[in-house]
Amino acid sequence: MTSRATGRPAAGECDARLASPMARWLGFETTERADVFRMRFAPHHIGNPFIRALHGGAVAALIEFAAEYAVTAAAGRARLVSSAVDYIRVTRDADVLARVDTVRIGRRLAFVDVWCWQDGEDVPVARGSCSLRIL
Amino acid sequence: MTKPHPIELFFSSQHPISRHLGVRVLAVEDRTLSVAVEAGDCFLADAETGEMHSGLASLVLDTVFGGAVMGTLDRLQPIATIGLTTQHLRRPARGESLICRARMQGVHDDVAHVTGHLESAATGEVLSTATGSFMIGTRSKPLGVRL
Repeated sequence: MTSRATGRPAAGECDARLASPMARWLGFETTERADVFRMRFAPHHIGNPFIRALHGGAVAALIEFAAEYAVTAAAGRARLVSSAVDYIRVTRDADVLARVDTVRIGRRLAFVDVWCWQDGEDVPVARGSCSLRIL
Repeated sequence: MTKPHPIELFFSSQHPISRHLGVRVLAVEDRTLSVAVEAGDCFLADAETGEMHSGLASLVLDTVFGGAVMGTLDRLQPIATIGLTTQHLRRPARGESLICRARMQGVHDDVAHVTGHLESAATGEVLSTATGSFMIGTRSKPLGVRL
């Protein structure tokens, strides 16, 4: 699978994303599961210093990054069009894991849901619904 | 010494993300908050093309929406994002000066509703639009207690 936009293979696109400054800022990492990604906690992810909860925008950024990465790996290259994020529970100053569930990957568009958790996959802290343009 | 405005408190240096986003309050007018953003290269999606990641827009919108809510409260209270829906038109470019405008639409049952967008400071081109909802009065310690 290659990107129609850059001609680079999907693996190359994914490597470039993992090496990007945004990935470093997020602490974005792949895991042994192809559909699960990690945001390694950093102090700049904090949104509420008093209870040390994560910033909602940091969680949204993780959801968007994970969605783009997963669709890029599957379809070549993808760019986020929209995201809708629900914040289900209070977060804490720890890593966040994100699982990308593919709803549909078409020729031009893709739709995915992303579930985030800290203490267990069955205790979600946030969910996102993302639409993406495949390039 | 004058008491700082709630929005100034919200965007104070003690708010870790504010430092990374380079935010500066431009105006507070009739429930609308306008904030200048000079984001660093740490939000680049692609160093070759100089394109910032869409996550930057989500970070800015959530931050400024929260500020718009704080600015309209009668007293300082903690808030938490319930939901954020964002449409991404174009990604910001490296070094592009941005303005985020957020309007508090109203509060019902302790839930504040905000709409707004992120635009290019130079051209006014809209880059992202969003709606957000925020819970007012969470169990967190009130802002200002330890500032």
